[in-house]
Amino acid sequence: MSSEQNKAIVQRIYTEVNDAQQYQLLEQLCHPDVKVHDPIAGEQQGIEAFRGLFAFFRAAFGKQHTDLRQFVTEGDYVALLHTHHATHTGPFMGLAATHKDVVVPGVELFRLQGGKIAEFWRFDADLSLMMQLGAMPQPA
Amino acid sequence: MDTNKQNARRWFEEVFSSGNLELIPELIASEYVNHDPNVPEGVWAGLEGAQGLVSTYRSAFPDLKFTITHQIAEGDLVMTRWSATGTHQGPLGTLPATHKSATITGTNLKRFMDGKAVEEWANFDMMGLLQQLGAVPKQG
Repeated sequence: MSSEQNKAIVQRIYTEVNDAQQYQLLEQLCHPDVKVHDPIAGEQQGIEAFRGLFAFFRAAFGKQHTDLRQFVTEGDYVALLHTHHATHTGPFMGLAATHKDVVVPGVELFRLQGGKIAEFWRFDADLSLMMQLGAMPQPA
Repeated sequence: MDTNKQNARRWFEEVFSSGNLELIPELIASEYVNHDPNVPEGVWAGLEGAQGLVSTYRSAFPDLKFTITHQIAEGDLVMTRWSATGTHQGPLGTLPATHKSATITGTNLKRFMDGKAVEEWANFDMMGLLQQLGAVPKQG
């Protein structure tokens, strides 16, 4: 698979799976034993685990749009600088819906194998998100 | 080895981990901008900002050690994924030394010009760090 093809697959994860909630596409875009690394949830494996990660954020942020800002591709890897724009509409980590709009940047990494996502490392600014929601004090 | 990749690596290994701050002007351009979601924009700008960034974390974690796990490069961009370990022996912002050890991961995207970094997007598990230091409760 070329870098361009790999990039197109990663793009679909954000636009079609995350933003448009077409979770059934995960089976087409990912390896059945996809590894998912998350700073909060730890390391998990399988499409259901990946779906669970999207569901976790979707339950809290009913409105989401991801701005895909910069791709970096090399070999089997695709990295992406992106910004999530979301509205906090449901419970999130013990915090009831605040209906606040948040802007959360991240740099995430994907490893592809035979045109499917085999490994994913999530990296969003989780602390900044909690601060924007008022769950933690702003730094002095 | 690609110069940009090598310089991105030297930043973490020789400057951050070994404390060789004299190397900063070799690796960082005077017009350097660092987008770090944990501090206001502009705090880590220019050579002085880069020096301030390293000094801030090295004085809080004098034994700070970075291990690079992935580097993905395309054109003038290098994404570095890392793991860092340190013991909290000095103040970190308003948080006094806890003498606890912490290990976190992160992803940094750097844009280079003539071998020096001109722009950087930092993304690391600041929430996990504060949780491991006991400064914020574990959630989720």
